[in-house]
Amino acid sequence: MAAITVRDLVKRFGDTTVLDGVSLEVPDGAFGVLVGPSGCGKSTLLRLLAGLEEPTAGRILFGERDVTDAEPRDRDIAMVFQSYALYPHLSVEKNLAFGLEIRKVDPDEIRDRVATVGDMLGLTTLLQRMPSELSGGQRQRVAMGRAIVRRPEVFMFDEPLSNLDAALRGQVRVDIRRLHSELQTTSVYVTHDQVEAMTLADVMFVMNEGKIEQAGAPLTIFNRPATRFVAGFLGSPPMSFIDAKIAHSSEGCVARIVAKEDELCLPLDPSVYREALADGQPVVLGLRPHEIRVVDSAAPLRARVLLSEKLGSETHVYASLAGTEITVRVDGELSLQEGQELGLDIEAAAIHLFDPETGKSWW
Amino acid sequence: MVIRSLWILFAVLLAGLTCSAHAEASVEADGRGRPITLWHAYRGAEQQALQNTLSAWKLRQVETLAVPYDAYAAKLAAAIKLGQGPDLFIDAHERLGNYRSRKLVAPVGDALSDPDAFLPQAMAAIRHGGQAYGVPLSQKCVALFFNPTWVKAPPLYLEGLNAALRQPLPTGSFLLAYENGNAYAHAALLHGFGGRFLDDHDGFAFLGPPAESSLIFARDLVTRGEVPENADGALVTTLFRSGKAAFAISGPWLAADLSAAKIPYGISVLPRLKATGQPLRPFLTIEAVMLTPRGAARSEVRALARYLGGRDAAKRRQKLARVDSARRDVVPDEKDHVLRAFRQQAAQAVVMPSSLAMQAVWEPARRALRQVLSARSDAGPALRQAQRRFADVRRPPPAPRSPTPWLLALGGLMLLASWRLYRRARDAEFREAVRRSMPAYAYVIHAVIAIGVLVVLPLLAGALIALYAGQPGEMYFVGAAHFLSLVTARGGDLLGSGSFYVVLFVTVLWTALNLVCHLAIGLSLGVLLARPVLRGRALYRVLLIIPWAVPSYVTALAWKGMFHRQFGAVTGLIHQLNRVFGTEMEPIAWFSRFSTALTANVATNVWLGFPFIMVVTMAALTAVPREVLDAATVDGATRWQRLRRVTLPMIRPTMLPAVLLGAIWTFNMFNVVFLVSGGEPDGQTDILVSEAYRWAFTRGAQYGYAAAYAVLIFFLLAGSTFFAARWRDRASSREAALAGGVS
Repeated sequence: MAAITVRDLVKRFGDTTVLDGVSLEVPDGAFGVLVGPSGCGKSTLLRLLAGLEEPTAGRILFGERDVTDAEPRDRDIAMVFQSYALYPHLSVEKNLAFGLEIRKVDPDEIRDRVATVGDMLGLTTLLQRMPSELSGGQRQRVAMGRAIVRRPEVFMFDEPLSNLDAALRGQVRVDIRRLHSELQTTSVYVTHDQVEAMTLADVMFVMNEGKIEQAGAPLTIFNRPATRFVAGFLGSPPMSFIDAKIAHSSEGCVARIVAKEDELCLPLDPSVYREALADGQPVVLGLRPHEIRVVDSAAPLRARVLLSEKLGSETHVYASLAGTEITVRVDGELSLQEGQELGLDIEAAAIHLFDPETGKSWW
Repeated sequence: MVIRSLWILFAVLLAGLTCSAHAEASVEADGRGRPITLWHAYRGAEQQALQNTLSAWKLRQVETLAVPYDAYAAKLAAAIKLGQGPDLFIDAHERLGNYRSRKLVAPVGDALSDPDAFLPQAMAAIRHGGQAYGVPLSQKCVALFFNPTWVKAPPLYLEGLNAALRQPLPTGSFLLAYENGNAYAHAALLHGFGGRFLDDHDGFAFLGPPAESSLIFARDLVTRGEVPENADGALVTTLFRSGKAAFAISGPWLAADLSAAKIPYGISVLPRLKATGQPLRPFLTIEAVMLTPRGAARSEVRALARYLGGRDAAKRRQKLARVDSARRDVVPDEKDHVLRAFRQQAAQAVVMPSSLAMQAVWEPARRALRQVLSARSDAGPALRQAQRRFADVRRPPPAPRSPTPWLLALGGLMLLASWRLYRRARDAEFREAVRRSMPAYAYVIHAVIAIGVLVVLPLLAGALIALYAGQPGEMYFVGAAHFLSLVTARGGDLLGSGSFYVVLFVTVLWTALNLVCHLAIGLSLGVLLARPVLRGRALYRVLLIIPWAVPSYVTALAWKGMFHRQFGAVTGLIHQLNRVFGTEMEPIAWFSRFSTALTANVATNVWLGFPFIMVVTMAALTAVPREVLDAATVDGATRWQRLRRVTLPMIRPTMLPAVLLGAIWTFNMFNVVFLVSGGEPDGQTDILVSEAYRWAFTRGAQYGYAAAYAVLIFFLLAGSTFFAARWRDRASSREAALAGGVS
């Protein structure tokens, strides 16, 4: 087992810079998740960690060992691929044993280890089958088994759940978490799914355009997004953003939302308030849908319903607040009509402030 | 609906055929009004001379057809049998035996009104059993050419060629060039020693002291470096034209070539042999007008033949095409030394026998000649083997058998089949199934008919020939006699030269060697070229596919040239290496040993065949997902382990059909074997198809025997394909639905 340290990693393909000076650290035994939208460079970062690509610059360390120039087979890693990448010409048993045979492990030990892993993942009855004879979930488990049986220093997962249906995905997510707590092997997991990222990660890295936007524990990042991008990427339904200006008044600091027909004021939390925020400073307000409460329509903050999506246990309401579309999460029982006026209550502490120029949070 | 339109189409076709047949019949009835058709194989000046001669003949319109020489005899036979042939045709007299036996020619009757006007050798050539079967036109034989730069005057004796030189020849030049591996060219020497190929009763006479002396003499010429080895016509021409041969023995064709290139040369009759005091006497060919039975019955056709053989026409030919006339009263011009030399030579030439037995002489004689020339065998044993081979080819055809048992067996089978069909037809469910599939049958019927007519029927007809013997047109049923004779090696040694088993072994060895090389090279290059990082990949791909795109016979001939011991590129390479590294490697006589001849063949065929495997490999590799290879990399596999344990097993299902196809192509790769080694040494590198070809076309047209070969080849291939497919199915049952496993 080993911690993973990445320092100033750069990767270019021709003129395209895919990774632009990435540094990160996954502590020994921790479960690190790289999350970000398609094309943010997370898969490339994983392939660099695995040794499947060579970095343009920067170092990669496993524990104290610099593995930047090491071949994949010398890094002692195991990887689970998005397409599972099982060897189609080998039975499940041979698939599991392949890496051990390559490493010339004693045949008796191979048999034992394959049997153990088969038990662990419920593959015992499938050992003689060919990959083509397995369901998607079974293939996924074989792919996991193939990684586990190797007992590597580091596990790598490249979007391993994206080819599964929603129900199975939830179950396997739990399985992965459970396996990790049993094995305690340092893991790096790549996904574009924020739910996977939030639920699995000990430490999470939100990536965008070849850079890490924010690193840390999932809840910390969720509650204190460092940038507008992170704030918008995490959370479902996503955070709503409203352009506004700072105004100081007798009641304290408010954000003034100027619109054509209306002008609204939202109180800002004094703990958030910075003297540095000058009067008239433009800001972007971030509002998480679950932190907006619907109150009676006489409230000063009013929005008009544009559309509502009933999901059963909850309803997502898309509404217009001073000309800007926001999302509000309400109880599933609440019945709302299109065009209806809503009174809203937003706690000052729930409002996030971002710089419209840099996207950085004003925390 | 579809069925009905098919019927209409069929009816229209039938009507059309009937009409055209009727039209032809009416022309036939009015035969006297028809124009005369004349076939010939002339080109260039000779063709122009013929047209010129014909234009002066006003009696009736003459239609001429120039048929390529290679296909001439076969086309003639087929057309005359079908009643579509010419009234008269021009051909060499040595084919008369063949034509006579197949009743393609008739005595010329009054077309030859004045036999005494022709040279005696010409009349001897076209006479058979007191009848004349042609009107002689011209005569052709070889003579001695010499290069006046090197030669003072043509010598009297062959042994004195050296003394006739003005100065010693530089290295790399030869004293004499002639087609020494060719029995036709060797005939002059043989006759000079008092030997001959055939005796008066069509027996093999290329035996005994005169024949042995002639072979030893020819070998010594090569051993002393005075004559280039394995020279063909093209090489003789090249050497003489470029001044690298002081003398050449060749025919009028070389004279025409030299005159056209304005190269000075002298020509004389072939010298005498000091050993016997006799002159070298080449074979003489008489070109003659021959009449088909239909043409011979028409007086105007006979009149045309008479005219073509006449004095006026002969003069025109001599003037325009510069050929030596077969008439006494048309003598070459005083100043035309070339024609005069040829006429003088013809007077002391030997008329080539026209009997069918002569056809069976060429191949055994050529093989014996080459064995002795390459010092693989002494003259005596080589000639005795040639005699055995001659006897093998001339062995009596199998006795006719009654086809009754075969017909009974066939009838029985058909009865059984119809009984089973009847049983099934009574089943209501089956009838219903047939009725339901009628529309489907309607959609495929045209394809079934086309494949039936174009593939199945010819195949069956070809296979049926294996049950017959005799010359085309007079074939008779012999049952399985050919097959019996084949599997018993014609009563000879089962592991002897030319036995089916030996040839089969060579064929299997040839196929296996080729497959291994094709796979090794094709796979390596395919894997290499499929790598995305390779620069200039598209260019390499195109370059490597070129060998495949060039017609195989062009490649085969080019490689044959490269393997020539004296003039080939490989020898050039060896000389170059010797020069650079100071080594003393001997040039390799590629076609004088089995191992090297097979190597030359395999090298050529590998060159032709690897691009196919390469292209299939590249296509198959696109089906190997990158992630699977990445998985193997992470699992710790090296590049080689990834190839051997992941890539190759994954592309195997795609490669297998290609390999099977390649195996079948190689098994039947006639072009390379025939053109590169030509079976050398001594037929040892012949494979089954080239052997079948020789039985059909160089050993007295034993089509039945050749067809038996073809049928056995078919069953061998069909059987091995079947077992290969079974084996593959078993092997891949575990790898079933590979594509499904990848997704």
